[in-house]
Parts: sequence; structure tokens; C-alpha cells
Amino acid sequence: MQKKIRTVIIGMGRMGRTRYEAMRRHGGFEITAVCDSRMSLLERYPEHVYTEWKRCIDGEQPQTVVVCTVNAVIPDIVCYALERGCHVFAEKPPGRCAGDALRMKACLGKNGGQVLKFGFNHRYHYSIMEAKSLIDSGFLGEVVAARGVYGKAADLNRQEWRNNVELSGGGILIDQGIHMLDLLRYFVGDFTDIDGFTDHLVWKESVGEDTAFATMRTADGKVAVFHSSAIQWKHKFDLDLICTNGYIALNGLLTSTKSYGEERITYYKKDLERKNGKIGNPKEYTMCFDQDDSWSYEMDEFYGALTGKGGIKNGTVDDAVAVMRLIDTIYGKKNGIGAGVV
Amino acid sequence: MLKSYEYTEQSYSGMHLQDYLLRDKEIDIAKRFSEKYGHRGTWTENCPVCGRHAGKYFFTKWKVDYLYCKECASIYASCDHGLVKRYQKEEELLDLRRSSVFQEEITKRRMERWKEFLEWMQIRAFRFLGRNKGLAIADIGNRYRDYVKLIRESELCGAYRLVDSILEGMDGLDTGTENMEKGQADLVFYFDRMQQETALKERLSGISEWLGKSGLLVLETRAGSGFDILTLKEHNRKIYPYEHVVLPSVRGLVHLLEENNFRVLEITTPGVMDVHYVMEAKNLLDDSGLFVKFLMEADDSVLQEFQRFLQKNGMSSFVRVIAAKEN
Repeated sequence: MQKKIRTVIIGMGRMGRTRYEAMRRHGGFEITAVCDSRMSLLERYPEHVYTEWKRCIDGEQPQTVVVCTVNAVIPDIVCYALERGCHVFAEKPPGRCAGDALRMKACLGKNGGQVLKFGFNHRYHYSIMEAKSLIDSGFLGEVVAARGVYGKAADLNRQEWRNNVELSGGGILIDQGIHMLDLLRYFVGDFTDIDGFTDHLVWKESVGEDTAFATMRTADGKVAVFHSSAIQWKHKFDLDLICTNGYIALNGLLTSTKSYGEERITYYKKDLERKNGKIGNPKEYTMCFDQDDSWSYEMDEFYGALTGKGGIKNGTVDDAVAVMRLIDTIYGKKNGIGAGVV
Repeated sequence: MLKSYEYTEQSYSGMHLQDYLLRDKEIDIAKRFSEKYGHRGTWTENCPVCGRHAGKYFFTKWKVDYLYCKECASIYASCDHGLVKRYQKEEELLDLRRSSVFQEEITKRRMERWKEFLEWMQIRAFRFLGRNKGLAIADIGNRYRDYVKLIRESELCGAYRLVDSILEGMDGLDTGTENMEKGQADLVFYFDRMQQETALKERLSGISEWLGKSGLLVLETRAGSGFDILTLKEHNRKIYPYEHVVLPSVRGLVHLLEENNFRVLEITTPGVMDVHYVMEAKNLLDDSGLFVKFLMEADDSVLQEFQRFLQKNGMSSFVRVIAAKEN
């Protein structure tokens, strides 16, 4: 019989509900309580309910805390839970800046033995897993360059926490671009040389940026180009991976709204001998996916780590620190790449 | 379950997987056999794929009735299983298929496809097993000498065993009987044999026995839910008794595998020949197939796009499955 992990969820907005469903589907978590400052969001749940997160953790004494709150309070809750011996799963972004991520890392170090995982669910999308497997198999050689575009149609004047930089830490870069940055690191490596900026190309009055661009290079000379946009005016996810012996294109991403289009991966091997007839026309293979099981896979890994059946491979605290340093660099903040440990 | 669709950009409109003369010889042997021994079935057999109900009459070919399962959409012959086994042992057919000329013709036409498959298999093995070199392979029913050699000599293969094949005992062919036992296979290849099975459950149970703990079944078969099969019915030159007695639908195949303790990791219909087969027989279609007749008048690029649509949406009659044994 599967061991049940006593769990509370702090923050029952969209992500809290998503995690709640994923944990219920998994079956290995016993959700004892849910918490949100808005009581109206808690009425549908049969578990204990709290409107204050400290009281929730203290009252329930859970083994695991799942943090799905606004960015500004994530570090406080994560550290509080770690200090009380809890394992933690926290939503991205890991706070509002690299300093927040480093604080959580230090806290984990002080309270050794716990599991801390951050939610970077894109790594568990089928197209991403296929691309990673293709690269790791060596079939296409090494990745030498990447282009990532992640965009949406956002109204930055709308009254919501994402558009409040005090709560969110920034605009489209920290909200959505963070996933693409994480994937670029995942596929290309750690970037040491970054040239990037953010801008308000359309939403001139908003505090958070609507656009971010960056070119990034690793110590061994691999390159990535990054574009995060709130003014794509249509949902878009494109990631190109150029390898020494071939190419991978990831287009679209299956989400609950299906608004990013069909999720596809296309790959081909270079064909300079023109086996397919003409140069520049290699035989392509495309796979399309009709399900998004990323939330479940992410919970599987977390549960495996909690029960000693494997470690955290994705969304580690080091991933969190590294991606937040990229973000700080693009924002031009002090804790960016090359700033040393804070 | 991961359900992925894979398709290729290439046109196969001019491709033939088999020499016409040899194909006609095979068909002629099967036709003579069916007309000599064939008998009308009772239509009372439950669908061999989902096992739920007896099917509905679909068409008759060479005195053998084919039924359509209303539950899972598979197609199967209402026939005497003893006759299927007798057909499989028909000396004239075995001699033809084992002959050098037959084997060499097949090699000539299919070698590139086999190489493509093995390259693809390396990618899928790495995806699901985390390794793709030196694997233990049980190859069930392979009847192509050079395909066996190609698999054995590939980087993918470490140990090999050919099982239930007409090639067993063939001079100069190493079927690897010494170097692998049941329960050790990383991969079981089961290609183009399901359509002749009279006892699907037993076969799948046998495959399970070959597979190691994390091993994968790689299955290819003709699917009864495919475009050319549903369109052409008895006019399909490629589908005939007793060579094809069960044509599972994609849905039926998933059900069958899950019922027999397999977890389907992916199921695709990467077939490339549906449109070509229908094109070859378009004049035999009656007026109920007017749209298809009209479609077949389209130019090559439209037909290629249509074939791609079939591939992508699980509607080609060639289906490929990767499944893991549930432990």
C-alpha cells in the first residue's frame, strides 16, 4: 500500500487547485488542510481550512507543505516550513529575485534532510521529455544553439496580483519567461555571459515589463536567444534546438486552455549527402501529443523523493537560484550572473 | 497513456514494398487455399480483440466472411481456426517465402525502411529504457532473412532470439537460439503476425514471458480501422483469408493490450500506403464510395497531405505500438 504523506496546501488560487487535483490523482498524499487568505476560495474543500498560513502549518503539523501563493510570500512560507522540518513543494517563481532563492537555499542547508522542489512543470511536458531524451541519446549530437520564444496576450492594466510588482517581482519575464529560461538552461547549460533587457513596448504605463530579450552564452561557447512577450497577442511557445548533427523544433504546448496550440516536436538529422533528394530538405519526424500529464509527472518525482525512491532531478533549489540569477541579470539587478553568492 | 502521432514528410506514392509477381504468387496460393477449404462461418464468434460481442457482417472474400465489431471497430474473419493453422503450414507458401528470389526481392525493396526502423527504435529505446545499445531482443515471427541479420548486427542488439519463424532451420541463418532465455528480453519485436493469430491472449501471454522486468513490446500490425481497409473491403488486394483473420482497430488494440497486462506507452499509425492501395483499386469502388473516387482524382500533393492526415490522426491501416509489461 502506498505511503500517505500528510500535506497542506497554502494558496488555493488556480495553481493551488491544480496541485490539489494532481495530488488527489496521485493518491500518495493525504491533504489535511488548505489555506488561502480569501475564505471564499476554501468553501468547496472538505479538508480543514485556514486563512493564515502560519496557523495552518502550526495547527496541522504536516510532513509536506505545498506553496502556491503570490511570489512575494513564497520565500517566507518555504523557510518557515523548512525550519519546522517539513518538506516543501513551491510554485515558481522562487520568490522575486535571486536573493529570495538564495535565502531558501541557505534555509534548506541549515535544516538538512528535507526535500525542496520548485514547480517547473514545463520540463514534464511530453515534447520536452522527448527532446531531452533525443539529446541525451546523442542521436543529434550536442546542442550548440537555441532560440526560445514564449508569448501571450496580456492586459497589463488589469487589476490582479501579477500586475503588482510588489507582489510579483516583475512582469512577463518573471511570470512566464522564467519557464523558457529554465528550459534553455536545461537544454543548453549554465549561461555565464548574458546580454538582455526588458521593455514596455506597448503597455507604457504598466509597472511590469511587457517584453524581455536576452542573448546568452555558456562558458563553453553555446548560445541561446530568448524572447519573452506579453504582447504576442496570441499564445505562442516555440523552442528551436540546433545540434551538431541535427535540429529539434518544439512548437506549441498543451495547456488546460489549449490556447498554445497543438504540442509538437519535430526533429531531423542533417543530410548533407542529400539522401532525401535535395540539400536542405532532410527527412523530418514529427510527434504530436494530445495530453498534458506534466502536473502528474511532477508530483510523481516529488513523491518519489519523499519516499526515498529517487532524488529531485528537476526544479531543484540550484535550478531555482540559477534561473533567478538569469532573471536578475536581465532586469539589471545586483544579484545576477557573476555577482557571487549572496 | 502517452498517445503520440508520428508522421513523415516524404511522399511514398511511387513506392512498392513487394515485387508484384511475387505478391501475386502469394495471393494466388492463398486464394486457391481459401476456395478449396474455405467455408462460411457462423458469425457467432465474439470479437477476438475485445471479446465483447459477435460482430456484424462486413464483407466476404473468397468464401470467407469478415465481421465488424460494433464495440471496438476491429475486423475479423468468421472462420475455422484449424484452417488458419493449416494455411500457415501450406508447403507451397512456405517454399515461396523461404526462396532466395523472394527474400532477395524483399530485401531490395525494404532494406531502407528496416534501417529507418532500427534508427527510430534506438531513439524510442533510449526514451523508454534509458539505453539503446546491446539490448536483448526476442523477434517473434520475423520471416525476412536479411531483416534478421540487420537486427542482429545492429548496435541496438546484444543478444537475439528468433521465435516462431518460418526461417528457423534455414541454412546459414543464425537465429540466436543459444544466447537468450525467456524473461530476459529488453525488446520483443512482434511484426505483422498479429493479423494471423487465432489465440491473441495466449500470444500476448507468451510475449510477456519473454520480456524482462522493464522490457518493451514493439508491435506492428494492419489495423482494421485504417482507411484502405474500411474503404476497399473485399477489393483490397492486401487483405485476404487466411493471411489476415484479425485486423484490430487502434481502440481495440489498446483495450486488448491493457486487458492483458500491458501499459501502452505510445500508439501511432505511421503507415504510408493507404492512399496508394485505394488508388490502385478505385475502379472497383461502388457508388457509395463516390467521395473517395473524387478524392482519388486529386493531384499528388493533395493525396500526400491526405495520407499525412491519416497518419497523424490514427487512421492509417498500419499501426505501431510500444507497450510495457505491467509488473
